[in-house]
Amino acid sequence: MPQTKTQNTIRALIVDDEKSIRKFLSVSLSSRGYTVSEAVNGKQAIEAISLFRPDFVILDLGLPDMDGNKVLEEIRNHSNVPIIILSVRDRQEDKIKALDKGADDYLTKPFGIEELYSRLKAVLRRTLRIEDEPVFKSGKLYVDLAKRTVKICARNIELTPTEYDILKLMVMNAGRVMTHRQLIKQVWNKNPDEYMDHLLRVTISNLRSKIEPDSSKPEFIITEPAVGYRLQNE
Amino acid sequence: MNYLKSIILLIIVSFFGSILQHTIAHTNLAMLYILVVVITSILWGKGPSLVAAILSVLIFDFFFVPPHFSLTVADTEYLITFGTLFIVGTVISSLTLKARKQAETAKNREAHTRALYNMSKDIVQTIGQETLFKMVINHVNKTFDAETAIFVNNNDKMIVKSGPHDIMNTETDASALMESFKNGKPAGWNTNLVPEANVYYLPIHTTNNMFGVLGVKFNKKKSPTHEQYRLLETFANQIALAFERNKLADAEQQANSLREREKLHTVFLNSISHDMKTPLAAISGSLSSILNDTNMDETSKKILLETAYEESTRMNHLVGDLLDMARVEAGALQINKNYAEVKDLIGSSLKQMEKTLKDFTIFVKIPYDLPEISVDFILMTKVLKNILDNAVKHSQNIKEIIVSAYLTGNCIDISIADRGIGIPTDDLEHVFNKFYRVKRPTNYDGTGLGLSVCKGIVEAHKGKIRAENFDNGGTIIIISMPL
Repeated sequence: MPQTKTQNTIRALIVDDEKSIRKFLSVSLSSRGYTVSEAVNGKQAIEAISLFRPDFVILDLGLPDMDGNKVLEEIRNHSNVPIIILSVRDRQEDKIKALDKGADDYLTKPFGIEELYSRLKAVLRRTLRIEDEPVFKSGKLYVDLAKRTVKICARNIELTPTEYDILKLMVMNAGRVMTHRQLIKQVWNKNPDEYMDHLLRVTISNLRSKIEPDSSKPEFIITEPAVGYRLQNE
Repeated sequence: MNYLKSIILLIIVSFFGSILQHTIAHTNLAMLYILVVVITSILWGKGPSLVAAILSVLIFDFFFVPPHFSLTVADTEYLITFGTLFIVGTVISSLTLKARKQAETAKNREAHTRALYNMSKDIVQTIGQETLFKMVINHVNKTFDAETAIFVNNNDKMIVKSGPHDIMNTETDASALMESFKNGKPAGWNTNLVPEANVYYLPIHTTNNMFGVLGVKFNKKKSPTHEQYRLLETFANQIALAFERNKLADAEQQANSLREREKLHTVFLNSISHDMKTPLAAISGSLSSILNDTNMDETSKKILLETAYEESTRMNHLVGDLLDMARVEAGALQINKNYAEVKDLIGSSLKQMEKTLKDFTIFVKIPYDLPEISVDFILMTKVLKNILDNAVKHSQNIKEIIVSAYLTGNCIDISIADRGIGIPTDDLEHVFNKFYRVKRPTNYDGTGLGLSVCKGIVEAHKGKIRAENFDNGGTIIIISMPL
């Protein structure tokens, strides 16, 4: 575990039992200027959180000593560090479970390194964003949380309170996948059921028709199939 | 009754005889009595005809031979007439009886033959064990006026395989049935083995072993004739034969499907080994040349690396398709249905295909008020992505794809149309088959699995998928999903 601290670089913790994956990630991330530490199992990963103090974690779910979800829980007990799941498990239940447990994003293996970087950037941009910067910009979309204004190409958009609440929540979690459950919980303070799912879909659909240039090909609010939605963060 | 009839006939003849006795000779009168005996034997059988013969002699003697009204005979010549009358009467009666019996036997035999023929005919035309048994039971019931069931052995217990379940309802019947099965001999009613039973049990032998027992409950408590028993045995043999034939047909079918599967496996292996090895060769070739050639310039390195990357993507595709196919095949496809907007479904498929579709103009036509459908979102986007991917691969000059959704009756149709090279009409039906690749002059890469995976997924949703040709060139794939 490299203990040398370079004050200004972003620190990455890679948790994976596959040597080839660790190697490839650590080479790629190092060459982009990240300081990288590796962990081969859950125990090492949990230790590394306090010892290495990473700025983000790339976590595999299939670990030899304990399940990745357990590791996720343990880390979340005392740290808010961004966690990106990297797993071969591609079932929606696995994704939803990990995201609901507090993972920031979920990528299935195999993946392109570009995809990983773009997710990483989005996650980091959100966490590194200073709290008192209430303005969000992504392409033509402009949201000012302090003034409660939403603009597309400098044109004001009128939103209903619920639509605004959803957009606000997504802005605050920009780049991150919000599961259906999380959205319903935090916007309506209800548990998901058939009706709430429907309500969420309708609200998202209305929101899209207001802010998306072509609502049949959404650019801002991206559907994460069967899992939730993500606000594109560029 | 028959005796009475013959006596009445005698009285009538005697009455006519008394009128005619003066006009015709007595010997001819005797002929009339012979006629009576013959008729009696034909119509009413042996006993009455014998009685008729004896009575004829007596009546003839009493009424017509002088001295009248006495059994004494004046002219001894008449004794010859009596004797002849009696002998001729009995001989003729026994002959006619024999003829009658033969006719009856022939009639019975014909009925039996017909019954057997009818059954064999039906057996040949019947497919499936259940229907076969039912049909056989029907025939036995009709032919023998009986109630019938077929029993088979199941863990040392005889169970009704077909027919009424209450036919064997007593302990005695159960033991008779078991005896018949164990000994391979008829048992039960009207036999030596457990004759107290109500039902007649006949074992059904196949070539190698005992198949089961035929239980026949005759409605009339009259013993069946020897021939009827024989016919029943023939029936049992026919059942055994039919059963074996059925089993053989099943085995044949299984062997056939096994052969088909083997053939498919060969195709599969050939296809897979080619599809897997090609990208692997490219990857390892590119990478090894970079590793070995230390003087390689940056541009060449980049080209080689790009090739390796592209090929690995292709391989990832293939592995994905194979896994999907395996899931569809194994029936392990888990469908997590949830309501979804068709618009969202199409939108996120297009989004996920963004890179592949970058050179294409995409038209999306979805009515505003289209109802939601209940589908597995991930699997359905997989279907749409596969179809879009095909559309891209088969487009040449006009890079245009039209995605539309519309309501048709109880279904929502999603159609994806391209302006590519189209599918030959003869191939339209087959493109959804596994490993089916339309023969093209140039090689299009593809596993031949994509559309069959689509079909598997769509059908798991109880939907339908079909391919059509676009009027001005191109292909339309139409998915019809039930609401």
